[in-house]
Order: sequence, then structure tokens, then C-alpha cells
Amino acid sequence: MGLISTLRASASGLSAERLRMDLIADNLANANTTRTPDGQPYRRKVAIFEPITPTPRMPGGVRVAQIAQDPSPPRMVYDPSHPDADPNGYVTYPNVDIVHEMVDMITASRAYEANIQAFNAAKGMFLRTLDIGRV
Amino acid sequence: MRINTYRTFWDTPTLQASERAMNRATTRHKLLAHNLANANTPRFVRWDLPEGEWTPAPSVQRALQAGVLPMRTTDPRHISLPPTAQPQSTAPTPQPTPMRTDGSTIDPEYELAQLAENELRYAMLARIANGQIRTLQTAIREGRGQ
Amino acid sequence: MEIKGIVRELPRIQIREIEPPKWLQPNAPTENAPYADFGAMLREVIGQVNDAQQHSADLAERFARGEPVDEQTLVLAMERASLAFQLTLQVRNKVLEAYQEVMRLQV
Repeated sequence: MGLISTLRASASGLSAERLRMDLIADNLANANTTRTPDGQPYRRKVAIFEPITPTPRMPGGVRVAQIAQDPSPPRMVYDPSHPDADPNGYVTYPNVDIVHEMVDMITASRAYEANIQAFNAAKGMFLRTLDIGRV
Repeated sequence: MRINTYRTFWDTPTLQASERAMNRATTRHKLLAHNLANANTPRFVRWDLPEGEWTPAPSVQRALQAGVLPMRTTDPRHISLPPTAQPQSTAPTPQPTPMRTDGSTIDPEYELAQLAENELRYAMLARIANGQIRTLQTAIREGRGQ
Repeated sequence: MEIKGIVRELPRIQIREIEPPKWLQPNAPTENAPYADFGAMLREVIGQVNDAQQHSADLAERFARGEPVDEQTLVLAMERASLAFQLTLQVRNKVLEAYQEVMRLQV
């Protein structure tokens, strides 16, 4: 299987980075959501990546072990006029840092393109192998 | 009668060497693809084949084919995965890139450069093998016909 | 050096067998004993041709079944089997030619 199976490994990288982008988009969209349907402020979502143990049929790759909530503390902003202000006048904003999310987005995007390169390299090597011995 | 030192009449040392090198290039691609898929996995240790000959001895080749991948660890505390892998050299080798803040040792640019080099090397080897086979074909047909 | 000069020098040029470097040594142990006779060599070679065909067919079947087979190993095995077969054909042709030539001899 060799080269053909590495396509699956690279594809797993593509999937994982794609999921990460989805989570980042979610985080950015809800950066100021003080009240979700369950009543709590939005909590930042994080994908936990885990490498796949290489086997002959699947020579590695990555998988998303879990989509977890970032346990770091939320942002507190003093705004007594806000409908969601607590008795002390503080509003609980999501623990989403826009800058951090943007950096993550760039990293995920870079990794996505790198995996495409790996995918194409494997395809290229395979097609060249087919031409061995042909006139 | 000339003593034939190759395996068969239709084999050449160049063809054998290029096959071994192609095997190694394929293995290296698997490792590099694995590295790139895990470019953002925290605390991931990069895999690579040890610096060595591109036409390694048959014993090393058999080990590689058996799935026992020699792995270059970057730190003695890193654990080799899978457990059956025996690193050929456990001496820490200088890291081409510094450790990232999330503990991953993958530098995507470095991996991509290695990937490109590997692919080009493989293309060259495929061409070499092709040349050998075509030469043998011509020799067998005595240059006549196709 | 013009052509005539080279031709004159030919007897003095010694052709040295260049030893391949260590890292190019073939996998199998070298056959140091010469073959007993032509028949033995022919049998050996036919055996090798058969092995090559078998090996190539085996790898191809395993690949078709989806088992992990390296692509370059498969392609090279197929090419080697093809070369072996072509060699067999050529040898057969030569033998036939030789036979026909002998039959044409005036006695």
C-alpha cells in the first residue's frame, strides 16, 4: 500500500485542521455571547489532537480525540446596565481572545496547506512509479 | 563461462541500489506525512530516518520492511513509538528548529522542504530504474523491434 | 587522438574489471562455483524465471486484495518478470535458429 495509504494519513491531517477551523469560526462568532440557550456564557471550544499509531494500512496521521471546553476563566466586564449583569454589576463574557483565535487560524491554515503538499507529493511519486518500464 | 555475481541475469547492481533507495524514500515519505498531519499536535516528536546511506545494507532494509522503524529522537526523555521501534541511534541530534510553545517539534517549512527533496529524489531514482530496465530490454531484444 | 591512433593503441589498453563499491553489493550471496554444464545453468535460469513470475503474480494479487504492498516493489517485480520472460523468448528463438542452421548444413 505504501504511498497510497499515506494519502489517508495526509487526509486525516486535512480533516483535523478543518475541524479546528470550524471551532475557531464558532469561537469568533460567539466571542461576545453572554447567554447561550443553556443560560451560561459561551465557553471557548478547543480540539484535542492525538497522533494515530502507524500501522501498515494506516501509516500515521492525526485524529481529534476530543472537542473540549477551554477551562480558563471567563472575562469579567463591569457593566451594570447590561441585562446579564450579576448582582455586583459584572457581566461574564466568553473566554475567547480574538488575537489568539486569529493566530490559531493562521496556524491551522498553514498546516492544512502543508498537508495538501504531502498529499500531492505522494500522488506524484506514485504516478512516476507507474511509468517505470514504460516506453 | 563468466561467473554471474548478481542474483539473476536480468538484474544489475544499479537497479538493486535504486530499488533499495526507493524503498527508503517511500518509508521517509510515510514519516514526513505523519509529521505534517501532526503539525499542530502538542508535544509531538518528529519522526525521521537516521542520517545514513541511501542504499543501506540488506539487514537494515529487512528491519525497515518488518516495520521496525529506526527513529531519531531529539531528547533522551522522548519515548519511541511504537514500542517495537528500535532507534538506530539514541544520541540526541541537533534540532533544526527550536521547540514550539505548545511542545510540538514540528516546523512545517522544514517538513515541506524534506518532503520536496524526498519527492525529487524518488523521481530521479524512478528514472534511473527505468533506464536500467530499458537497457536490459534493449540488450535482450538486441536493439531490434520493440 | 585520431581513430587510427586509438586502434593502434587498443592491444595495450587493459580493461580492468571495476569492483562495485561495498554499498552496491547485491543482496544474495555470490555464486562462486561455475555451473556444472550448460544444462544445469539452463535449469537454474528457468527456475529463476519461474520464481520471478511467481513473485510478481503474488505481489500483484496481494495488492489487488488490498494488502499493504509497496508500489515500487510491485512495479519493479513486474518489470523483472517481464524481462525474464523476454529473455526466455529470445533464448528460445536463438536455439531454434541454431537448430535450423545446423539442419541446413550440407553433409
